[in-house]
Amino acid sequence: MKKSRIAYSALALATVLGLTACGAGPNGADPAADPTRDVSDGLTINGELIADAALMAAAAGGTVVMYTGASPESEQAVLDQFTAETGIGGEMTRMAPNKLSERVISENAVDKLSAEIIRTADKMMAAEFVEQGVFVPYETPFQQNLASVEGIVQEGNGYITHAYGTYGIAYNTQLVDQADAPGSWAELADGTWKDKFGLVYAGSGGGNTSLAAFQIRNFGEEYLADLDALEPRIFDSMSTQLDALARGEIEVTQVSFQGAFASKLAGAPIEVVVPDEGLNGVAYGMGITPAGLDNPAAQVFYNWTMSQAGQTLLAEQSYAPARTDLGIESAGADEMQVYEGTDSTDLGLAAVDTWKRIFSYAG
Amino acid sequence: MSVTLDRPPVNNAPPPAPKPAPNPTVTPRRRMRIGRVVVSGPLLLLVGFLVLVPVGFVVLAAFSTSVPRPGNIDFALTLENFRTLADPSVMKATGNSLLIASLATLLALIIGGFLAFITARSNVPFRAFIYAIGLMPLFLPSYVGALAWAILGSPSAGLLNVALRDLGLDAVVDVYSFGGVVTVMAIFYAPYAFLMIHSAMSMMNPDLEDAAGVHGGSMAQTLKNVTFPLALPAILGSGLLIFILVLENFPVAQVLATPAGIDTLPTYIYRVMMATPARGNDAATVAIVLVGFVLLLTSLQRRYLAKRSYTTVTGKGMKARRVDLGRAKWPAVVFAGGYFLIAVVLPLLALLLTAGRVSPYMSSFRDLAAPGALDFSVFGEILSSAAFFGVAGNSIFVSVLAAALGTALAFAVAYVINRTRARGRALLEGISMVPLAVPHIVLGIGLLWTWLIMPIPLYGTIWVLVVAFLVVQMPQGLRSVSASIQATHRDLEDSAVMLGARRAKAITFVTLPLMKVTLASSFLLLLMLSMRELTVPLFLYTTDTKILSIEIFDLFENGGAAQEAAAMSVVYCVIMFIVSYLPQRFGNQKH
Repeated sequence: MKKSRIAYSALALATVLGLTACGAGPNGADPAADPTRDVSDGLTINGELIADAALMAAAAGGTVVMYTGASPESEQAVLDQFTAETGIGGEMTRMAPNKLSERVISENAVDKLSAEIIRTADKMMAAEFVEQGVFVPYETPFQQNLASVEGIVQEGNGYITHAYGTYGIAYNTQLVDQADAPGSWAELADGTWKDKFGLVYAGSGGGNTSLAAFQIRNFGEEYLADLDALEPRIFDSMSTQLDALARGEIEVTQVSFQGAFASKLAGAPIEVVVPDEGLNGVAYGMGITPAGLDNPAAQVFYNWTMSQAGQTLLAEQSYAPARTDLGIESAGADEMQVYEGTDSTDLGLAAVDTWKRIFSYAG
Repeated sequence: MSVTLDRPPVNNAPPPAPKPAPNPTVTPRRRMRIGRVVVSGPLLLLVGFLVLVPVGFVVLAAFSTSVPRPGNIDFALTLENFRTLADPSVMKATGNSLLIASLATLLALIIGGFLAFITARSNVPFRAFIYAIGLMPLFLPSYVGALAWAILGSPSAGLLNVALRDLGLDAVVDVYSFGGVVTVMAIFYAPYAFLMIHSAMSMMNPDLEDAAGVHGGSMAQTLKNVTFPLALPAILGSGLLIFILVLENFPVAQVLATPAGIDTLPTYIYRVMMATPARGNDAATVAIVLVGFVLLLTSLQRRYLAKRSYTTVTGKGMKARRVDLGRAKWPAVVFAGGYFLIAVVLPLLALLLTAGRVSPYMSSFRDLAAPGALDFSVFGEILSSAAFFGVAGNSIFVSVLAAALGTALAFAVAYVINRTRARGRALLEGISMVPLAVPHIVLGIGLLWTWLIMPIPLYGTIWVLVVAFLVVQMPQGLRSVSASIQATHRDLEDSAVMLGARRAKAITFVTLPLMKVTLASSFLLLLMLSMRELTVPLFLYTTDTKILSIEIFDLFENGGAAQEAAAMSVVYCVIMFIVSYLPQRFGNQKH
């Protein structure tokens, strides 16, 4: 994947497809990609040294503390799996994106930052963390493998993209037949779903901002105007929107597949659709803090996240793994569009302004 | 008569040094001034430190070119941020907020005041139960209550609408509306009016009413001209409190007004704070306008009440007279029952059903008859989880401490304000009321910044939540205790002092016992508020110091965890009920 103005990456979306009506179930990762582990001398997964014996010994019995803006359900599943595989504990504090930023920067300024690993979908926030010294450069034992994949290493090892979140369409299966569900972004906005559609405020986080930018970039501002003509219910967070979709307050919406994954697992009558024009992808960044650098447990977690085991698990949580070199993707996956241009931040901010103007949204 | 004898010095002790001449610079007048400062000074320092430092950060943010967080505090001041106030969307949000607050306050006063009157001063049947009804909505945090009402009253999928459709009725309940927001706000804030008005009415000396009766006043005239005017401090106090709480309520507005496209100031501030990049300066600007507004209202209320005496508790008898409601008895019971239904029963049933429903979607109540449609095992999972008990323990620890310390502080402040001529009384009251005016989302950040830079190592511990709650609940505590201290005659305490008791002893053995009921009510109020508080701890909790409200918020925010969230909400309400049971009984001894 070239780090160009617009990078289209054919990434593994087996799990994404697994969520759809005709998919293979929530765990859509390729079974062939199941990792092999060797713990005879530290931890080696699929032949890749994750932690040498000294690091594993130092981390034994330790705990990693993570702050995250990502879906807590999937983050907790990742921490649980990490603990099961390594015996190292994990603690997580999940915050809405801006609360995360405010708290991290404030704590860091007075050397009271307890987080060792921080994950966010907001590129601007991650860059600021690097600038403020919240994230410090760190290299895994297999850094050259990460560097070989376009889009993983960011800001000179300041942080990495560990996965991609995906945004598409979802509908309530009790109210909409599969045959009637919108199959494309165009069908979503064609007027059929007037008074039955909802969406999340574009300024509520990196993922929603990138979705608005994706729609403007691909279909023009008029696409947002078409969505506005549906007289949508506007939500401030993805979770409240998904809850409304599950209860049938709205019938169709545009969603983060990671959020939909958690809802569906909990029994919500929801199916997701990969639109014909492709999914929007947003990069999730992970960085290590000075406290993390001093904690072997945090280093093992960081390394493990980027291993075959960690990436497969993220795929099971319906993320698209950042490491396209591990063979986790499956043939026939749809395309996901990840915009990583240097002007992506500015375009994101402009997209939020356009979105607010079109939807007459205060704030 | 006493006689003083001149005695020679004994044991060759040197004669006593002559008494120093009175310092001409410390005149009696000045000594009095010093005494007036000694009384209020330490309290001003304490309250000022607790409140003004976090609020100071907010004020600085309103006038700064950048957000003054730790490590980035500079004093490059500007008035540019105030341009935000001219934004039409801010004006519209302000108008909506004022209208919602006015209507909800009126409705809450009618509900709370009526329930207070019939339980404190009438012969209504089931008085003790109706007293409990008046308090019960306090057990339901407004965030949970709003979500419960969204489950009940959303136009397309609300349970009430499903039921109406099942019955073949066309009517649609739409809680995502102006009326819905006003009603839900009023329902959940009516207990404030109830508590304060009930206290005032139950302590009222019947002599004044008896005098009105002796002079030919009818029951209605007596109520209109004596009883209700005497309860005016409580009515105005609770009215002001409710107005401001509704004005700055975020959760209900967010859950019910936002989907209807109705913006309020708190939802506007939240959005500005949560935007990327956050506009902390703009949010602070709107917040300090609210502070100014609340200070103005407080001062007007104080001036109005200062013109008259509302003392009703004296040493001359305390048995409040009960009014015979006659045939109005049963409609009053029906009114109380109706309130109980919409404020407590329906929301709890909605949460219970959500906790037990396997599928969140339900087109008809008949769906519940399907095999496996209901499964309440989630309650077992929660109650057998060690994590839940840790979180619940944190909540109880923080809330009980915050309520106890808050009541003590509120009494000290209310005493100085109402019973002394100490310097800075008005300032002390003004400062104590400030946290009420600052939207919690902004105050939470001010508290975060404050306790991060303080050398006292509270940040990251459970104690920072206790301190934060103490600050946040200070206005409610003060309003509650002030109303009752105004109603307790100072003659009783002064009599003790004249008979030789020190002032502290007189307060301990006369004033405090007289106010036992109302102080217990204040403690209960603060306990409930602390258990419910959500927004402020969001910025201060850590994994180890998570409390119940945060856990429920997280579960709802998860998406897909509605069943667990609803179940935990029900358990939460039960815990709040149990935790408040003892103080409530204590406060309810007069019934």
